[in-house]
Amino acid sequence: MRDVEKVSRRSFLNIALGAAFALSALFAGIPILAYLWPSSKEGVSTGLVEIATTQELSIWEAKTFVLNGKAAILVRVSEDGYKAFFSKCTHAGCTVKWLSTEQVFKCPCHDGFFDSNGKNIKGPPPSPLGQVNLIVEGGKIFAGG
Amino acid sequence: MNIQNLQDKLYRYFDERLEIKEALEKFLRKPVPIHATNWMFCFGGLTFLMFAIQVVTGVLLMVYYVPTPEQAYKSVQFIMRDVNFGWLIRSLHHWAANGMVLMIGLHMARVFYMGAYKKPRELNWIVGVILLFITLGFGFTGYLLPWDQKAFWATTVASELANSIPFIGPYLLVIMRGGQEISGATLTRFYSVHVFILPAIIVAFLLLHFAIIRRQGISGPL
Repeated sequence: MRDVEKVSRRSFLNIALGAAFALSALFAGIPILAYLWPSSKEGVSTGLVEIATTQELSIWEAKTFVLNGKAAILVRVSEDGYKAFFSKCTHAGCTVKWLSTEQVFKCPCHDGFFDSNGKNIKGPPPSPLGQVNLIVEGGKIFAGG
Repeated sequence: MNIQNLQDKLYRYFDERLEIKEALEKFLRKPVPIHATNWMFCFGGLTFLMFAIQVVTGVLLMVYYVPTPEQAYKSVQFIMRDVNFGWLIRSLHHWAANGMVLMIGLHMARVFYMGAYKKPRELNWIVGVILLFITLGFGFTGYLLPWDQKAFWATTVASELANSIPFIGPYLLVIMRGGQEISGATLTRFYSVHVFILPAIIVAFLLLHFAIIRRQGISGPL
């Protein structure tokens, strides 16, 4: 008969306890590491997204939509001209609103203004709004890509 | 049994230099009296488990939470929606906070029911009551941090309550709010109390609580 190493009840229980702790730590550790890893939801492209039809908006009218998890605004600037920008203000990250009467984007947090090209024209914003690529095809407007 | 060997070696390395064997034995090999091997005696330990969860999840939440009026609500939304397992970490923090208060209630009920607060253990009961109030302080300051409507108005009501105390009330209100109104100053104030001042105090009182129970031992059977 093969020589079997004897393990005492005490040391078996100690090892079992240690293994249980190690396993729990591992299971707790996975979500914690994933939590600390920068979120991958920002900037993941989901391809082209249909956001509106060309009939939907009159000139200088706007529509909000969400692209890759980020809020954005579509504005019709002429008969067949459309522009879209991410709504996140480049200053402190508030959500800008389109004012169709003044034809500007306004950030309500610190009175920042952007013109219809997304350029920062007044107030604290340091840079223009992020532009969204648009494709107009077959009476439909697509964003992203 | 290779791992066991490595463990032994490592242990002996430290024991040779720090003589931890004696200290550890005394600390970890504490026999529990037979009358205390009863589920009613678990609530103090469960309170501490909740506290440990609060420490771990709280530190993790600090990684993404931003205590400014512009960013507080958004950073909480960001944690809940975009951060990997952010919903899990924040929900654990929320529920373990509730659980901690619940466990304290059960722990105190057990101690009261068994008369374990009586001489010579009155001092530890008092330390325990202080720990209860520190915990409620955590709950109160933490409630404001999501910076939503519920948080804002709860803090409004609570600081108005403080305001109604004769003579010192108006001063208390200004100290709590960091001004006459609830503002960004209130938020940063509550934040520093929640993540630094109260943790430092509660650790000191927890150590005292544990040191006293070790010194006096668990109270006798009913």
